[in-house]
Amino acid sequence: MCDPIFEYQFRLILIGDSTVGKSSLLRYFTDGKFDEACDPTVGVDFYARLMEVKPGVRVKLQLWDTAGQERFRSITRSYYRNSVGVMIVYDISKRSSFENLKDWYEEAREHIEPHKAIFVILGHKADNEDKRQVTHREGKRFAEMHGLKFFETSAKTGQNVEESFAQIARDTYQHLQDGHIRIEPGWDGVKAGFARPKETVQLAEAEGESRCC
Amino acid sequence: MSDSDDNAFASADEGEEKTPPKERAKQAPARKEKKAEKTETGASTGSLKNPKTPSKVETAKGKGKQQQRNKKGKNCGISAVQENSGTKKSETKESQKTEDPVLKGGHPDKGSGDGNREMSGFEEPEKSNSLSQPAELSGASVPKDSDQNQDVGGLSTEKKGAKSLGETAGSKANISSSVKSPEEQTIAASDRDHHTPQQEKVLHKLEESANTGSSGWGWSSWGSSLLSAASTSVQTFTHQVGDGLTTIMDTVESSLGVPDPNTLAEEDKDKDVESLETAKKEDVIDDEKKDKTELLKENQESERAERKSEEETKDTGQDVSPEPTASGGGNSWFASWGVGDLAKKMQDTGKSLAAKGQTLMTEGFDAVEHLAAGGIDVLENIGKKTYNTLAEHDPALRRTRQFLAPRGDKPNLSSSLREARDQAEQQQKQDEANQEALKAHFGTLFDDYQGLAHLEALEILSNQSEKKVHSLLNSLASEDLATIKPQLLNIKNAFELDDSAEDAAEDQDFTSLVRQHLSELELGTAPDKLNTVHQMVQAWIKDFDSNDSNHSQGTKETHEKSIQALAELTAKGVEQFHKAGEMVLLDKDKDKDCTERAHSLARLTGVLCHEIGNLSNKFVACLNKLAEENKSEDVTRMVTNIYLEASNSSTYIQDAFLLLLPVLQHAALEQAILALTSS
Repeated sequence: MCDPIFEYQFRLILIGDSTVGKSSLLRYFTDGKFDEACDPTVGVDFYARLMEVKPGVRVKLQLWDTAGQERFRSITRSYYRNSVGVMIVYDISKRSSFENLKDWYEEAREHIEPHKAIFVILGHKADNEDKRQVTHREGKRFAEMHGLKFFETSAKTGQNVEESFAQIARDTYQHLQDGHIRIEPGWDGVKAGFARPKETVQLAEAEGESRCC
Repeated sequence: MSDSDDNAFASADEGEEKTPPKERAKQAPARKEKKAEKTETGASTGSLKNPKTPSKVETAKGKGKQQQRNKKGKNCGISAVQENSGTKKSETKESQKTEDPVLKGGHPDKGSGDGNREMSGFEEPEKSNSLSQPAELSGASVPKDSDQNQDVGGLSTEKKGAKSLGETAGSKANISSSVKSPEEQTIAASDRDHHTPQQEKVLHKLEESANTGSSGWGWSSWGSSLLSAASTSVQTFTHQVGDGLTTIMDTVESSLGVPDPNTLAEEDKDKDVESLETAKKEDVIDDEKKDKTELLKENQESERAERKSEEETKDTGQDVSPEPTASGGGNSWFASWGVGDLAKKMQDTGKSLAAKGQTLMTEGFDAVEHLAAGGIDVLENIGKKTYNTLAEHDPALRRTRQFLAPRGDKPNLSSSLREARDQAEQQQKQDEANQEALKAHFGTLFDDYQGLAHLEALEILSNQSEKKVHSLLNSLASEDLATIKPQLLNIKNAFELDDSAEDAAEDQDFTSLVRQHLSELELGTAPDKLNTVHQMVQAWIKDFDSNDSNHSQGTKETHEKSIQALAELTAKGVEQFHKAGEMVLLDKDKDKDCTERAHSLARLTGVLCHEIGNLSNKFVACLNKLAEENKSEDVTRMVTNIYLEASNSSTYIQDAFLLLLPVLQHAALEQAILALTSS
């Protein structure tokens, strides 16, 4: 008898302009660390964390950290389809990153269809108050206009990092419970969690074949 | 409620009783056919409000043929009538919903049929195929769900009440009024309030116990079903408690010892006929109503027939009206349970039953005295009978008592505490074992190092490229295709991995080889992560080897370390391939020949697989060394596991590599097409 380590795996994808801080945000969320210096992401990187969506129910968030650079757009687009959650990140101290929100949102929606995804808008680098170029109100209004949740986050102070991920995880879980989102073959946005092995080392079986496609 | 109908219907297994749907349809007018089906498939509660419900019932049951036979079923139970009249007032709102004017109108046969229907309700749950069928839904229907059962019971008794009112009082007001009058509702409320808490408690207990466990109707579960029926009846009785007391208690008591119930029933019947005739006259005004009444009549008659056949099989005394049997069962059961004063309560109940009859008399019914006396007599009589019947199958009612009594084997506090502690300990042990197992589980570790995610992402790219290759090939002219095809084939050939694995024992300069092959790719991807992991692994092995005899690590740790190293290295290798794939697709340098890249990647694969084999050998050597030092330990299984995972690891790397084939072909095609269009 095995207890599943997590009930579901949700694949979340972070998109947004280059250097808005997607990787930093994810690093803070998964490691609790913040690095000032950070190499630009190549293609896509991965992070993962378990999260409790309700008492006793854990889900694994598989986080796809996409490259924001324009030259990777054709690649990152390929990854939208298999995501159940999308976090669109902009930099509150960089007006242009906010202005591109709409493009990101539309692009993601277009590529995710016909599947449904939960979107969250994140105004990042919220600690950078003195360099702020986008007001909280503007960000909130954009999100509300599209019926999305909005947070201002900071990987430096940790502000709202946990909350925003918890929000998207809970919303996804709720949609799953309500049947708006379903586990479908050929779509990896949500996968059933698996029971991790209980047997001892010596009994461990080959796992190579069980890898997901 | 409709669910319970279905249940009851489903539980009908006697082929004779259950008319096939087709037959049913035949008997029904086309318009009703649909409804019959609907009823069968579980009519919604809403449909119960439909005034056409009686016809529905009729069609669903389709027992019209049996009418003739049924006429003789005039066996009349006084107490049943009592109950009917009483229950009507103690109605709950569910039953109000279903109240049907036509039902109230009733028809001549209803009165005489009542007693029988009581019986049928008691014995034949399969008849309860429609809520609008008055008597059949009495609590005896197989209780799947106690709430539901209660509802149904209440409902049926309501129907009975409505009918008997029609019989006795000439159904003046009720015939035309489809909604229950407010007075009745208030009475119902007050009746409820009159229950003594004790009674309530006992009844609930009875009902709960009776309801649990008995899921089918049959002789096997007869005991529990009987009890369920009994509890329902008792409840019905007690609904009347108080009401009677407040009104005409004295009359009731003075009326003890009057004629036999059967005589009384005869009288009732006559009256019923009269009253229902009146009802009929009124019904003539409304054609549809009449229609319904007739249908209802037929239905009830057929039901009686059913009841009769049931009776024969079950060999229950005909002269004893079933409803009292039930209550009597409750009575004697109480006594046997040792709650003495409950018996007294039952008597009170009987009295108030009579009282209820008295209330009816104010509407033109003069047999209250008989009712009262009959109630007591019959109660006594059938109480005995029920006890005997129960005891026959259950000596000293041991089983019944065990079934109904509160659990005596409740665990005490200390034992439950002990249990909880044991459980917690076990859980903790299990968790620890889990954690241990995870430390050396290749698949899990590979996933933790994001190898799986990279493989999946690479797969996405690969699939996309494959589609693209197909569509591009289709769009090409045949001569262009001919020039491009050799290159695609060359790339494909480069992906043919030769299985002739070199001797993995040979050390190789992993870092420089990887760097070399990656630079051949000219994709600008650096093998930093891969090399870092590799260096860590090498360092660990070196550290192990440098300590000749006294190793701090046990075999277990060594094994864990080896699996973890393999998993991490594999994950980073897969990541490297993923990145290479991404860069190939993005690469702006169109001069680079894809075939060459394919070869470089193939060589890289070879290096990685070689390294995996080499490292696994080294780890196994470490394990063997430890085993030599510590003779008692058997490392064979660990060694096997390491080799197994090493082969898994190579499979992952090769899979990742093979996923790059469409990507490279895609890139090559685009290059070629670009060259074609520009020239």
